[in-house]
Amino acid sequence: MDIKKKIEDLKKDFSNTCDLITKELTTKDSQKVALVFIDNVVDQLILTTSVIAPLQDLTITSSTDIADTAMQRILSYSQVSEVKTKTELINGILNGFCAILFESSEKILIVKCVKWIVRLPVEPPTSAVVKGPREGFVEDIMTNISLIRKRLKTPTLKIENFKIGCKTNSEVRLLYLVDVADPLIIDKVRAKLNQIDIDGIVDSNYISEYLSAGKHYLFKQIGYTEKPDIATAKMLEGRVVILVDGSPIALTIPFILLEDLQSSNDYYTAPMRATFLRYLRLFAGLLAILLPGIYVAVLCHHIKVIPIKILITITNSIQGIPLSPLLEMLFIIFLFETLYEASLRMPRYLGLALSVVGALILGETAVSAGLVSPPAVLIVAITGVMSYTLPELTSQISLLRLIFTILGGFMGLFGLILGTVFLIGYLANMDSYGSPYLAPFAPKIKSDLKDGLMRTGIPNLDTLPKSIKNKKKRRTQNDRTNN
Amino acid sequence: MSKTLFNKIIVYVVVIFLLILMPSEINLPNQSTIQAICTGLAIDVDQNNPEGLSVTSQIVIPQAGGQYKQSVTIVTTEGKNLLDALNKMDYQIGKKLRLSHCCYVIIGYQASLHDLSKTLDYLVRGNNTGNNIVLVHTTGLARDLIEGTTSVNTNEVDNLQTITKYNDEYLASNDANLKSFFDDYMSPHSTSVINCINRTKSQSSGDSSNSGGSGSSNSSGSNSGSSIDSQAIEKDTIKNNGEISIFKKGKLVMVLDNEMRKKFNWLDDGLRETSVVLEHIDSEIFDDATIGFTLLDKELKSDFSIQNNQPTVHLTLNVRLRTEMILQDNGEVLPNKTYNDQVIAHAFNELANNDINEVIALEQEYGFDVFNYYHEFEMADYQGWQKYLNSLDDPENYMKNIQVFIKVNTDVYGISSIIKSFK
Amino acid sequence: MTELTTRQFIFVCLFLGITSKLMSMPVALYDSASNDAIWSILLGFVIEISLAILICLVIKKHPNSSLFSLLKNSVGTVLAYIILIILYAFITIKLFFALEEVYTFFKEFLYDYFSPLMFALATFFVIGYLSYKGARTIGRVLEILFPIIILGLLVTVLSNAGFVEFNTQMPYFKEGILPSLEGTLKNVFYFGNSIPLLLFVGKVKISNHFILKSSLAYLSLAIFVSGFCFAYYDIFGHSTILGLFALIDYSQYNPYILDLQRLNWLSIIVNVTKLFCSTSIMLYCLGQIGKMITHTQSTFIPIVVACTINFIIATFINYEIDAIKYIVTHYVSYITLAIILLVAILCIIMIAKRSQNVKNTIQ
Repeated sequence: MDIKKKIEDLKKDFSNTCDLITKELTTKDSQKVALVFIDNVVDQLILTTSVIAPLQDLTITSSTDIADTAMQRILSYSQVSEVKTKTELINGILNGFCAILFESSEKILIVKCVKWIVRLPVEPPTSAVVKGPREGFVEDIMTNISLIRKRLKTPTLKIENFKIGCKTNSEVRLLYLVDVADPLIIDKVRAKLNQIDIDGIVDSNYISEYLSAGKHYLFKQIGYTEKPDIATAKMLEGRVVILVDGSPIALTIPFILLEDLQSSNDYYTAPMRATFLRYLRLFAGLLAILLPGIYVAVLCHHIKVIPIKILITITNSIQGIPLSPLLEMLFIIFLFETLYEASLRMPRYLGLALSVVGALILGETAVSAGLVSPPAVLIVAITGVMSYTLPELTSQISLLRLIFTILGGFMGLFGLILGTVFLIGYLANMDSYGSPYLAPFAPKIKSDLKDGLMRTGIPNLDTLPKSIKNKKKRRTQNDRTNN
Repeated sequence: MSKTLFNKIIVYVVVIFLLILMPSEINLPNQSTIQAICTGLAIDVDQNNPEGLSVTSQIVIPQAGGQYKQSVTIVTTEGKNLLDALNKMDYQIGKKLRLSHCCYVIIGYQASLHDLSKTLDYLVRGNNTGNNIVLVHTTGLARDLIEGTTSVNTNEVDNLQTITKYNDEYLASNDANLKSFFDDYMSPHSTSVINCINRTKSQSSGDSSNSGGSGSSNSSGSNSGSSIDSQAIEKDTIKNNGEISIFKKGKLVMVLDNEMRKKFNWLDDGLRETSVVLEHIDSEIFDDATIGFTLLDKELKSDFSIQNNQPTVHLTLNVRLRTEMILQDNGEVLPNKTYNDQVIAHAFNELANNDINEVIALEQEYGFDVFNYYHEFEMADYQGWQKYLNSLDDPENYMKNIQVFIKVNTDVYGISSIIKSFK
Repeated sequence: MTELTTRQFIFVCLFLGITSKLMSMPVALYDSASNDAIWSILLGFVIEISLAILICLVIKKHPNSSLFSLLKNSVGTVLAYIILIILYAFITIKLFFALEEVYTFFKEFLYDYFSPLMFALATFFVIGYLSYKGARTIGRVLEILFPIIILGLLVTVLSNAGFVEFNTQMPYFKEGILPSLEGTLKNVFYFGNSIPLLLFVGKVKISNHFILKSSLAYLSLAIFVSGFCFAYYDIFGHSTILGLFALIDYSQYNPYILDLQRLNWLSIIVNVTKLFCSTSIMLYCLGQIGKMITHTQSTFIPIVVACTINFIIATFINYEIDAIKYIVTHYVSYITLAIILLVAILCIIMIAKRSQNVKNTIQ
């Protein structure tokens, strides 16, 4: 077939897009060859040195097929393969391969000369550490896998490949340690990944919502991390990790609430300090949820339980505020959340100005105008700061804070206690791939408590967590249960 | 299918319910704007109606940006009983009066002559008060005292509590609150002891000028305790003279002054750090000396027995004293710190003996039982005690025939005496 | 189908056992037995612990069978239904009493106005949710809350322990042993708390020393409650009968901490949380009985029915807690005594049944 015709056909398949480049060459013995690739995806240097140059030097004997000879010649420079179907060809070109068409042969070769734009694995802004590794995942899946491989030099690390999204064709990789991870969890994840039917995924969060079990919308059931060291540590505990091409966020399964109280920093500081910090985070988180509710409940329903001196101080400072305590609190929370959202979405140089405006001008003028009282502003500010001790739970905390404020205003202390019991019941009812969400506290798993709220020394953390199902029991080499 | 329908119905019911509640609950005002917080009550007999009560309340009404003292107001109402008077007070101040922060109740002299349990029943039976309200008795008008506590020179509204707490070292006054009063009242001995604190007004020439005292209506320029401010002229004071009032069956029996109260102190269990002064000590060392001691340790052993229908108490008082002061009549200063002289011990024994005898005599005369001997005899010999009570014409006055034997052991002790013994 | 670990089951025992024992029981017993009340409490615990141990023995002997099949095998189908209905009625009364206690507590101590409708809807929503989600969820909730509650209770009780003088209530048995006996019998309703444990037959994963562990738990509960009551009677002396809820009065009493006395938050929070836990266990039991009687698959409708029944009772018997207390101590107690005897006999039959079965299988 005429090579021009072949190129025209291929161009039609790509809807005549302008960045599909075709290049016609002639070999030494005047054979016509065409290269088809997508501009900017293919590395020009590789193309010239490992494809164009060998092809131009090509000479063939009459008995051999030009494609086979070309394949052998190019193979010494780069990864090359023959495609059998049209879909394979199109996918290859889309994934940054260069297709080689021959006039005298029906065979089509594709050569890998991809060059995606890759970011450096810098420290991710969401999980900065004081001490400890600073590398972070990037958008390129191969870089991410190499970051993990760099840390896990074991043949038991298994990587499974999935392609999800009929349009985006995103590569999704399932990583786990064969000798640690529970096969049931792997099967379940695999099945769920295979079931996903969607036109495209642009971030790992798309997948995480498919993987969450049940209708638990408030609390996440999948862990997120942007750091290869965390992903590695989680795999060592028997979790599976999912990497999605184009997303710097790795998913870890199963996930329990305790993981949000822990931080990778904990393992890079002294155990006592880490324990203290974990308790601090827990109490700060609880207070962040409950404090505005308690304040409203006390003022609206139970001023009789506050000591007289505090009571007089508070009541004197809230005299003349036109709003009821609940409305006032809701107003300030609304203001606070708006500021937070705006400062996130604004361009960075504006965001700085906004935070100054928000903190100083808005708060100050609202108080001096007599619209809101200083204690209420103080409480929302305190809870705002406290909620950021648990950065992963900030969104949940801000929602719960709103709910508990309304409960406190409507029903007082009774509502708060009721809400807390309900929340604990809701969390206790949740399971993430067979792991109780509140493990190791409910149900109590004694061996896991040494890395629960209290962290003991790393040499003592020789057992794998039982709250996550896994094959091994101990981290040490001589594990009697290891088959 | 039916379950999901049911679920949805429940959700809708809850949402509708919340929507109905929304307008009323969301506008629920700050409670302090509709309530007045009472921090203290004073109860007197109504001047016009001897059967009724005149109740004065110390109320905190919040003021924007105000201090404690500006928020305190004194209001008086009359009523047939406490509840009636407090109800009237609600109308008078235009807010619901809350007793949840009430720290103390002052009983005026006239009111204490009636059965206090009837007066105070409302406070102890209802659930609207805390149960450790401090009870204070005054020999004057209770209203006077509560006005005095609303002092312009302190920031405390509960300073009366501070004054009574100073009385801790004295007999039974540390827990003289509403609950203990009723506990004693309902016990068989039915004798209660509460603090007696008075306001003493003295002549003054000038008016103490205080700035910003606009908030309180009745804040006279009184000054509680010792005046630190040298410019303010001491007009009147609230003093804790160490007096206690004794109630039998809820009625006032007598008010004991400081001297008498100290005598009662010997018979009270536990250590109360106090001072003792012996006068006119004459011996080889001392010449008509006045010697002051601190009580270091006190141990009271009581042995209760009933033989032949005769209740008997054997009291053994072991005391350790430390010499604090020696004043010689001839002006000579003695060089040592402590003199362990038998004369001192003897003099002290005599003093304690006399004191205790005086106390017992007083108890027998008026028929009250501060140390709950009723319970002690009951514990020692329940049958015998019942028999004894039955044999009496007036079982109320069971103290009359009780025999008390006293033995006092004294040990004078001081740091220097140990050093001396090494020489 | 085991839903609870032994540890969680012990928490269920403790939470059920402590229901109303720190609140209205001490005052009610003092009313009946005066200064011998502490002996009435000890006697009551003897009854409760013996019954609890019997039930635990049944649970241990039959780890895999449900209560209904066990009853059917032991006493026949008709009697089984009757017994279930009796249990249903009894637990309903207990649940109602516990809820009424919470409601009164809020109404008297915390709110100026507290809407009963609001209270009922909110409470039933939460305890209904917990009991619908099953024993597993309740067990986990108890596991989370138990340390907090026990810590709070200990702090509350020990804060005033310094005022105890040990002899205020003595001498005991002034009028012989009868008043204390009468006190126990009149208030035996408070000691029937182990009866709902019967519903946990076949739901507990039995670990080593199951009986020993549960008996120790009950013993420590008895020691704690009696210790608290002793301290309470000793401190409050003769004015005890003026009280309403022992723990609340007790926690408010501390003349030395004048400012902190207002902060009896701890006792409030602890107490209410505790009552939510125990009421949800009771509601769960009611749901289970309803499921057994009606043979439905889910406990959803039985729980809704149980809530509705309680709601109707609460609406019609619009009494104050004192009136309900009077009814309980004068009429319900005798019925309770009968039920306790019934359950004890049943337990013995069921334990015996098992041993016969074992013989048969061996043969």
